[in-house]
Amino acid sequence: MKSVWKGYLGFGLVNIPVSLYTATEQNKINFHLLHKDDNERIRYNRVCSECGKKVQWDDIVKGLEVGKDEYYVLTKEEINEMKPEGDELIEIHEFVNRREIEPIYLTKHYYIGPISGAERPYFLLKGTIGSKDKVAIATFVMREKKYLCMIQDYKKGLLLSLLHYADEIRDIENVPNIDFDPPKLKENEIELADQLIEKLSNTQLNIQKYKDTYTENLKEAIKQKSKGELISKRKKKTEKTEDLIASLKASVEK
Amino acid sequence: MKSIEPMLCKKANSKILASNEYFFQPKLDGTRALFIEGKLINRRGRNIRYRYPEFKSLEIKNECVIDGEVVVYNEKGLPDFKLLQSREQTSNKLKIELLSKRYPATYVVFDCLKYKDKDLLTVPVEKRLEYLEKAVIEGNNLQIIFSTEDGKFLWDKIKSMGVEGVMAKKKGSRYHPGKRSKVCLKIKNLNTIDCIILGYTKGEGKRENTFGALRIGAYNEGELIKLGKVGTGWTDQELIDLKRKLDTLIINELDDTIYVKKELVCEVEFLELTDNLELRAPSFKGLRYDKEPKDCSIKEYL
Repeated sequence: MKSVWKGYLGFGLVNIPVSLYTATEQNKINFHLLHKDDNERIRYNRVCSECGKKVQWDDIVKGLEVGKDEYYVLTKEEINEMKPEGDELIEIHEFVNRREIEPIYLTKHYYIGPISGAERPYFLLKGTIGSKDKVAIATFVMREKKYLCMIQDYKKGLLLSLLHYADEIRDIENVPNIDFDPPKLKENEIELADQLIEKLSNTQLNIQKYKDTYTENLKEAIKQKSKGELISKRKKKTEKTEDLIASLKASVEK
Repeated sequence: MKSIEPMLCKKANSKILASNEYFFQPKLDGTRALFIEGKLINRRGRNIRYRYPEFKSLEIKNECVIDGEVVVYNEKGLPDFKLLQSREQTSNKLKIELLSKRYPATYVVFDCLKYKDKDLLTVPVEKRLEYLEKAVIEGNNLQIIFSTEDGKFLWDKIKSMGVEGVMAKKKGSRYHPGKRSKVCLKIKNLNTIDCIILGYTKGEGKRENTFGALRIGAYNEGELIKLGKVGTGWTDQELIDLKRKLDTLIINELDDTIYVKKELVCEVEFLELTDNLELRAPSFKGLRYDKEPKDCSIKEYL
């Protein structure tokens, strides 16, 4: 695995050197867009809608649309000044019980990996929070953005989960019809519902059995294609010749 | 033997090809990897076996530790570093599988460091090669290296084919893990050096959205030596990909150069090293993911 961030985990008086590794991956298939007539790549150009000219990155500023065609403009310099300074530190602010964090706050997960030679403090932290069933609440800067996260003991290591900021969570009050008065339930209704749940209950979750069938089908279709010819105008398939080692061996056997 | 670092080689000139104290093997342009406990460990200490589904059935005896090079042969039958790189750059499972069929890799093995419960590090290299023959069964994706005592013959062959070079192994020598040892010499047909990318210069014309040249450097006894610029050798797509990578690493801009964090390593081919320590006629060969920036050294060329 390749690390996506390197720095320190600030834990009291010690800074523990660590690396972050992305813990999940998208299994989806990325297609390229091609021109149907010749199978060449479609390219995007940044073009000014007024003069029609291609615009270089250096000549681009960011604007927030207020009314139609009315913008407040922020220059790159203004935006850069606002960006948080990356100090390569995951700063732990507090420890809370794991149950305190509602699942709705979790967004993305990273494994925290120890750095060779600094394993001791890493596993000290892991052991302590694990045994107390606590999680650490921390903040850090990655790719010019400041993130809120929690850190927990997970399997052989530590897991860092990014959290939504509180103001990013929408209020359930805004869901239509949510204020429906709890209905009076009949006994046989409850019994039936209970039975149904009982029937579909499993002691253990086997999450592997759920598959993204659309993606699986696409993959199968692509694998079938891989048995045939590749579609490319420029590359012609050539017959493979004997490889270097084989031909050297053959040359002395003669 | 839980982990071990591969023995490294020293540079030598073609005079050694006539020596009868050595025997010779072709030098392959690939990724060095040790086979230990079912894993393929690269020089960065990472297990890279998952990238090569075609290695699933490598026939290597249990508990043997093997040294070798992962290569991808091109249509001419020569190890092709660019094709190998296409295998190293993706972590997408589907692509890994498709690439394994399109550009299958071969593990070319050249040493046996442990045979069953026998530690072979101090055993003479010829004997280790005999153990190697016993430890592996050659197949589609597993080859034992070609060895010969006739250095001239091999040199002529690889020169005519445009292969990277020849390795010379000292007869009767032991294995020195992690050391650059003179029992293992390389004679290069083409000069290549692994450099750290320090930054890039702005491009003009067709290249105005990417870059003009890379500024490169390498270490000599802890001191970073700037080796000038390399401005050719890539495909258009490589240029775009490289620019994208570099832009995530920018530190600052100074004169004509945008400097980046010293994280990327690239292999550069060149004619010679000039007296003021710049590479003559350098050409970019590709990024190297199996080498740490701190391991880029110019020492052997000085």
